[in-house]
Amino acid sequence: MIAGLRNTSEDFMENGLMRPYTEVFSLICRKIRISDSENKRFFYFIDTDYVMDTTRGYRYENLTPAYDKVLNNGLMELKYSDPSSEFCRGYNTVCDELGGLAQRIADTIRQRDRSDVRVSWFEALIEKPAEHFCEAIQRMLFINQMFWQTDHRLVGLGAWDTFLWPYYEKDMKTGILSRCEALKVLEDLFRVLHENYRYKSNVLMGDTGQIFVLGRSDENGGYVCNELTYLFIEAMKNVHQPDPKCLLRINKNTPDDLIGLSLDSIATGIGAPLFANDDVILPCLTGFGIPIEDAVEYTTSACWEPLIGGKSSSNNNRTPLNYMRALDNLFKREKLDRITDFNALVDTYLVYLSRNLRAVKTVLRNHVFQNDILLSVFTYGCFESEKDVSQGGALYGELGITSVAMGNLLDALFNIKKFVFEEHRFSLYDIKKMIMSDFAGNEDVLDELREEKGHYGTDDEEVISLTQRIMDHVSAELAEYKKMCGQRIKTGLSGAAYMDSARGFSASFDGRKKGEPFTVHISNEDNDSFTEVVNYAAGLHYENNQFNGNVIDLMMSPDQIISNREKMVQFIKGSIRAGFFEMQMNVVSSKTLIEARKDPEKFPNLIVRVWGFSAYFKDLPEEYQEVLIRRALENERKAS
Amino acid sequence: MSKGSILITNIQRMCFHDGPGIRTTVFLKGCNLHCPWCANPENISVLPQNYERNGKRGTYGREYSDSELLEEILKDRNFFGEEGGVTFSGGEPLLQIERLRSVLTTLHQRGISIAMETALQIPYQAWKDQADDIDHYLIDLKILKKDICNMIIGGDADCYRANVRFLHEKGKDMIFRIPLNHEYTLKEDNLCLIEEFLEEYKDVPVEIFATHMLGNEKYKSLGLEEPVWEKVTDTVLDQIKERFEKRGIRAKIARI
Repeated sequence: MIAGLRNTSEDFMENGLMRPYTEVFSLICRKIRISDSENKRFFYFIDTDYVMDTTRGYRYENLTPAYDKVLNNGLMELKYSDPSSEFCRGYNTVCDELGGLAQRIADTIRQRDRSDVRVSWFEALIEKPAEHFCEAIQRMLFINQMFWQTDHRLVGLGAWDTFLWPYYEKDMKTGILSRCEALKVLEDLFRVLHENYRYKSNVLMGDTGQIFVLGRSDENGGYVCNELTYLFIEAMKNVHQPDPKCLLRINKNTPDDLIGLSLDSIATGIGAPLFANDDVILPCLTGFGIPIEDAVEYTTSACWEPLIGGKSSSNNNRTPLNYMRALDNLFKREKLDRITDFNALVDTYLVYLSRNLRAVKTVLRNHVFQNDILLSVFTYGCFESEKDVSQGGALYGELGITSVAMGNLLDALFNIKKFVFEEHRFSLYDIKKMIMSDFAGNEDVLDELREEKGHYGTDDEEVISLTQRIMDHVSAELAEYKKMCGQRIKTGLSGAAYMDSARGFSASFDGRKKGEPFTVHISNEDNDSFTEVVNYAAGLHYENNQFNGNVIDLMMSPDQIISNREKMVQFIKGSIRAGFFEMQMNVVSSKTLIEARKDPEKFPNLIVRVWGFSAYFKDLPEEYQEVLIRRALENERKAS
Repeated sequence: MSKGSILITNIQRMCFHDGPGIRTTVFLKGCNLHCPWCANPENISVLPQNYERNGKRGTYGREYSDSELLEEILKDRNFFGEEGGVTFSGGEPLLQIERLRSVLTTLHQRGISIAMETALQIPYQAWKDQADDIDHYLIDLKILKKDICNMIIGGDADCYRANVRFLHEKGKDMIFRIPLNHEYTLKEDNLCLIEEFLEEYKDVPVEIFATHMLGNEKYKSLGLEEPVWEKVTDTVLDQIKERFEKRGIRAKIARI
């Protein structure tokens, strides 16, 4: 099976047509093959030959279900007592079928071993609240597996340190559990979720969206974490797999030892946790109209896009906006002699950018989402409103786009400013010729451009204000969509398309040849220090609708962290004070990467960070390996 | 040179090894010494110098106004925290102390920690007025024998001793840094003098490191002959550390 491929069954069709959702869901619960996981502590499986066919429209993905719903309640307690509409009846059917499957699983386990504690866990799941730590985990795993079984992709995990805390505390008090045992339990949890790695991977191996979101702020800016916050990170570090991963929410009150532990984990190379700065993100969410009591519960969509976990059906990853496209179009279509100074160039660029955004809006308008009753059961708001998520039942539901190539755009614009409008070495027509011909005959200019220090990701006021101007333009254009279609669109500076969007894309005047990859998120390999790119990101405003993921991507060698652990803690604390949005670190040495490319078998477990997830280096396409090696080489000359 | 302008070759941010916390290190151009093992030869001359490196030409040294320098330093203020701040290095930073006066006062008033990485061979009368604005002194300890000090590095050992005494009496935070090379500083008579000297300042931490050749590309770029040094091994560093410790001197090895 290759990443992303699904097998469905003929059973789901009737006379050539797809059966209704509830019928397919019932078939799944009654017929999927029950198999124990490799790990014996938890019962977890996906029957990959009997996956819901979801070709009836756009499916929901990148979401975090409300796992907590099955902690305080049995499945039957989730039901409507008097189902009055088709939605309510479908909702009850899904709960009943889940209960039926839980019973099938309990029976299967009992047949093998009557004394297996998991029999009582699954039987209690049908009608009673959870009592214990491991039982609570098993319940959430059951819901998680059903999301995968029904062909949801990038299924988020969310704030399990918060959900599990009461059960941990109770079991610790009664002596059923020790800290050491809890760590082993969580290590098993990571192992269980890592099974089906290939099936769960989306476009690239490792892109599973399985993310625990740990730690949080309270409504007054205090920091809330517990022993489990630490244990999740320890478990992830000990198990040393690329997936699942953790995101740690931090603020200025986060304890140093938690940041230190996170850095220890990052230094092992697993690329996690990713840091999200609540001090910046929460005001963005409340400014968007989300009440603070819900805002503090945010998780993320697979990677970086903030999402109110369990309460939102937001589609935060609908399509990427390529910032370079509008500049490329400008050179192809505009009468260039009309542009006589840099300001006019930027103004004209924005006109072309608006045209691109119109296309983005059209794409989004044509997305019709299929009904999704399982997601509706596990999303707050649907029960109360008696509406499916596809009908706006969730408490929150917006659209989001990602973006790519802001770095290439800015570098190209500043290079044009210098070469055309300041030094008068070339005309815009000359530039057009170079771009169209992929710098043929102008290799010396290409070399010179590559030598230019990158502007994107530097804390130069001019660079920050031009970025902001472009971001604000996009923000205002996207705000118009609500008038047209009633839904709001968010945007951000993170995106996974730096390779895909660049494939076959013309050369650009940042010194990029045709087809070469675009810049990765918010990054700058030319900087002399990491503080510069943090200050750049911190200098931008992400209010209005601009908070759909804005991650700084740093490359470091393991030694940079290990030898300077305490100062790296200070660096993270300084970054919080400066006001970064999100930050991830790829910790690997170029030497190791180069050796691993040459001899993959010697490095079967080498993990790297790609987009917003971690993956085994050996599983990556060569072009991604190349980008990582180049960035590692460029970064290793930075101060340590 | 316009009044108030400060000659700087480089400003390096997020430095971890130039004093406590995260620091911005400002390399000031100009030195009154000429240590043969100098790793920053571009900082010896007090004037800007042209260079050629890998076929590219440039100039070592750029004049900064007070506000330009402050702006650059303050960019990383969020990262300094309680411990970090700015470190003036060089060259000999004390040579430009007059020009730095207003910058130092402003930084001090804003509560930003200031460190000087200095060879401390400028008479203290010349910089004592600013001494209290400076929080940490990272002090080179090189050659203490009067005539050899003068002959090899052009320094004044008596002046050095007086300066150290002056700072110590003021209770300033200090650390000694000893560059070790077989050719000069590791000579037995010098080591004995260093030991005797350090015994007077047992409360001051000591850092030892091997002279390196990381600055050789810079010698080349200036058209100067590249110095070659006999390697000081880790074993030698360990021996020196042990030797110091036996006499109650707190020594740490900085491996570069």
